[in-house]
Amino acid sequence: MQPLLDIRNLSVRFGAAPAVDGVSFTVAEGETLALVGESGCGKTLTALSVLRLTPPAAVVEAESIALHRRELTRLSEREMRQVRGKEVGVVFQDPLTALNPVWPVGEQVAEGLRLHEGLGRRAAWERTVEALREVGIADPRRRASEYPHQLSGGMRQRAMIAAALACRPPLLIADEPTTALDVTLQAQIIDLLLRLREERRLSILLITHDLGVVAELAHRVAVLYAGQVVESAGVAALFRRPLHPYTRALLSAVPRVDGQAGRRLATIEGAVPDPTRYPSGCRFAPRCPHALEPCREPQELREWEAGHWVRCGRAGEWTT
Amino acid sequence: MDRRSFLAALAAPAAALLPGCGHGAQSAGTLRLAYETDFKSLDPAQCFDASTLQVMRILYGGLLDCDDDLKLVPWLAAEMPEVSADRLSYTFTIRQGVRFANGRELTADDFVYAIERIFEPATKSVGTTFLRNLRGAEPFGEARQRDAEEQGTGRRERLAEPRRLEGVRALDRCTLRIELEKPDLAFLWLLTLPYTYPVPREEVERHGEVFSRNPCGTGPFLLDEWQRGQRLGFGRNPMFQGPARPGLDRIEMLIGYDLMTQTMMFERGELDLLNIPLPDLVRLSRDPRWSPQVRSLLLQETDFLSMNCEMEPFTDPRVRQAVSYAVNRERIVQFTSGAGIPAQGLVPPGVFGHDPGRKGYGYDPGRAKRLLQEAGYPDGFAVELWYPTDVPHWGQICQVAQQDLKKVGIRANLKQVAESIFNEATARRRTVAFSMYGWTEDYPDASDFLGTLCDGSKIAEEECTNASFYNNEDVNELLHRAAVATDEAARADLYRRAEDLILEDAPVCVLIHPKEYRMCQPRVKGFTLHPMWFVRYENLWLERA
Amino acid sequence: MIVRLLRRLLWAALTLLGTSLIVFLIAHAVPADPIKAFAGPHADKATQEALRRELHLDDPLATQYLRFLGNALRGDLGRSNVTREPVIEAILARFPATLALSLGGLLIWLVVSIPLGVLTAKHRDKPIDRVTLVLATVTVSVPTFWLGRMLQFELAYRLGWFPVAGLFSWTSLILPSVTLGIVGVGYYARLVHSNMLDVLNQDYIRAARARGLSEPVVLFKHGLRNACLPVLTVLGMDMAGLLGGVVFTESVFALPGLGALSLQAVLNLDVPMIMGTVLFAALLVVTANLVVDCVYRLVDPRIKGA
Repeated sequence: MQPLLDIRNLSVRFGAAPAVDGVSFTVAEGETLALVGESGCGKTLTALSVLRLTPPAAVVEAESIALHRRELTRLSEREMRQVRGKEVGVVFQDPLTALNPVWPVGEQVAEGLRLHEGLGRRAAWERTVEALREVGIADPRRRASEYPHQLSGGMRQRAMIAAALACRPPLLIADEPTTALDVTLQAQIIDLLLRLREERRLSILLITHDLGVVAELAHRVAVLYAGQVVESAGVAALFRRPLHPYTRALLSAVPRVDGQAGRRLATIEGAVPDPTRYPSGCRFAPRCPHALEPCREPQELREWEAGHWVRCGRAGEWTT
Repeated sequence: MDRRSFLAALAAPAAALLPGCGHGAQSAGTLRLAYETDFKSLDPAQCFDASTLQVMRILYGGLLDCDDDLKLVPWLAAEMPEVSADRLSYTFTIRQGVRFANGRELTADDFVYAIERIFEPATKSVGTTFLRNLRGAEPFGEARQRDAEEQGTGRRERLAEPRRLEGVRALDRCTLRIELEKPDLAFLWLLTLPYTYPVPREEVERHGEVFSRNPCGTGPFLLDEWQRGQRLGFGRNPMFQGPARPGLDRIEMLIGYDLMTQTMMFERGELDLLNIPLPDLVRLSRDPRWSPQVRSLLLQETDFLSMNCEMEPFTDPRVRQAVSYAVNRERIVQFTSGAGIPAQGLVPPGVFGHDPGRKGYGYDPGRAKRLLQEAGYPDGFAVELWYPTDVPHWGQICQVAQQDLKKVGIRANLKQVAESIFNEATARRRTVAFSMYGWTEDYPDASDFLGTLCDGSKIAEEECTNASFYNNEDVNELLHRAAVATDEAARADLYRRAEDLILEDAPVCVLIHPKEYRMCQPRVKGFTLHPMWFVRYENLWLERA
Repeated sequence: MIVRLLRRLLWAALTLLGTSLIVFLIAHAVPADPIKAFAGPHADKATQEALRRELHLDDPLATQYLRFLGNALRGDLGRSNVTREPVIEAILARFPATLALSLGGLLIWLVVSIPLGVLTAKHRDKPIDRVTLVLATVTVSVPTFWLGRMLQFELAYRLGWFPVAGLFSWTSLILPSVTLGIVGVGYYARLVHSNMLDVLNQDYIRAARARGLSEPVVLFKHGLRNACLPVLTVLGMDMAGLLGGVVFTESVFALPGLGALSLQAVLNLDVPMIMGTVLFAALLVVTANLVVDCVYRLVDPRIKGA
């Protein structure tokens, strides 16, 4: 498969603190890659760096961020704006705050169309209505002129997706697209994303801490911990044989049957270390039940088996 | 105002805001000046301040005028009147061919109407005070008063007697006779005041209450625009038949500009005339651009500290004398950069009855202290010194006086009071002990100073013009004799003796005779200041650039 | 909506009623006699009494107030005690100048402060932000009167760029509008600034950027409108302050507006004119508040139904 997005050695620092530290991954055409980890592990920052949307205080360094083999890091701000919305669409976690309350939802879809497709007001509006219909909003013509607060939560997220995909970008960054929604709506949105992926051969960079969503949507998974990729593999391989103790902890924290409390990550002892005070060795060691003396040394990401990478010297030393 | 005209009012400034009619665009021959406050009325019967007086002069006219040498000369009268031997009867011949601005010819009847009108309460005239000596004025005034009261109660059946003012009669179309109760050598001066200026009856009756805003007279100009509180415009009166045509096409008076703003506007050429504020006087007089334009005028006014003779500690003449010795008049003049000249007496120079040889109280703090000691105030005393807000530099004068008084032990606390409140309080008996006061002539005669300010028989509970509540039988007697004296020299002598006694008793501590400074743009010609009229607009003309 | 509007109108009416009563009482508590101010120092007793009767100043206070109120409801504010012209005519004749000045001031106020607030929020802690902060602090604490005099002296008198005073053409309005506006600029620039900082952290701003919108569109289309909502609220409350500034500004630049009219009325103890101008000013403030309220509804769709 041809990599659509190729990120090599990406770091994001706030002052001296590396919130993202040497992350590399690729997303192929039509592929869905899930970035997984607890909050604060740097997954949203990683995604935002692609579009250069990180907060002003963040310093982004990368060997390469390439989209269609085009080096994004070398683009001017003006060229970057052509990429945003046109080549990469973004869906945010909470559609209520991510939609501007003082403009009709349709306008927020249409403005991208006018900008990137050079459409006139009327044509853009027609495409907007169409885009809203495609994401499954009933009576899209009426909904288009309504304000976000007049729409239900599910509809808002559909509208958000419509706005992100209106210009038919090949890559969608979906940042916790279902987290703010209740279970039924989550399923609907996942179905919608699956459908759009099939229809458009869409690549998706999915950011989530919800392994349930990962299981349903992702082809491959990269697990982030403390700004580093600690394990990456195909979704089946990862679920079958998680190698890193952190991944194992994540998986064991998933309540398998109970759907009520949400398939959220249950707590793992301790907390993600502060980026200013990472341990010198394995960053998970302080929380790791299997940590030994060698874990005090920095750990390299190594290929355990084909396509299955892990950052743990003791990987495979235990089972179950 | 209905809706339509409100919209028109909104549109008017909008039109003025269009670019192109940049500021300062005046038609040739337009003189522009500015005032701080608007005129309350342009009805000559209601005139009582200096700026209104100047306007009265260009809109209306009187029987007699006062020339550059302060001599009475005929104005609407063809010549000076014939005076009877007993000095009680004056016969005037009215100039032929004079017309009101509405085109009607002036007759002697118009004078009769104008003067009788003063006594109608509805006219709200302030002129009756001056015209009480007209024969039959008292019963006529009372009758008009009764009419007004009965009109108020609705019981009016017929007009009260007498219906006519006996002392003012038209003998024919152009002959007017005025008769007095008692002889008064200053009487003819009263005819220069606006209260006797003829007004056309038909216009007064047509406009009723708002005649004050729609003047119609015999003067060289007429009012053609009055946006209240904003501006007045005067154009030439086409009916005017004067000895000389006025040199200006138009006079524009802007309203609502304080002195500081006026000064800045003048220096930028936005105004043609300026009443120079004292703080700017030195600067402007030294500026070679402006110094040739500055004109000064010694006002026929006396500014003084008034001491209420009915209130402690000023009941004792020694205390009052001490105040007069304590104040250094030269220093006041210096300090105010030329607010006037030191005053020796109450009657200012240029006024009939002024004694040029008079030596007043000199500056002698030692003597002041001794007098205070004798009066039983070896350590002085504390007192409030009131002064009104309306004269800008009076605060300064009071401060100088305060410092001088402190040197002899008198602790004066300055109290600045709004003009209206000041006027009312100082005129009420036993209310204000010590105040800064100024008296300007209504006509240049000692009677207007001594008779108004120091006649003890005129003391009233309220609105007393005798601000010191000074009462000396001998002075009263002299003043009454002088008022009816028919010989000029004897009259002058009586006033001189009265003033001697008054100054000896020192109910007032005279300070200065103030000066006024004005200037005009170089293009304004014919600009001189007149002690009574100040600016005579009809004499001005503009040099075309 | 209707109920809310009615409630606002009722409040407005009560405000005006309260204002009228307070002004009436204050005007009658002044120790000087308006008759004497009117008739002049030479007027005799009889003339004064006749006047007093004619102007109904001898009636009991309550009667005078009720008569005033009744007439005011019919649009008749009485006649000036000084000039005898109808108060309402004087007010309407002066209103255009005041309106022009207020709008001019408001324009400067908003046109300068909003972009400044947006820019300083965008370039937070950069030199422009710091300079603006200092200027804002200074202008907020500068008295209008002093500022007006300074501008008049420097720009009109010394440099001759503008007319010194008066209202002769639109150029006459520039300095007064700047004077009136500048005092608000500092405060409003900071207000927009802090609201904008808040708004710029919102998800929808990031979302707008993620759609590829240019920075000006993001700031002004998506940011400003939200940042303006709290500004509008404050603006409604500041209307009275603006009118207060108008009085000083008009007096410095000799503009023939309501400020000059009311000031003169106070100096003349012209009771009907004082009451008329104050009531009219109250009416203006109340109306301006209603307008702001309506604008708020237009700008923020969320409270439409409330």
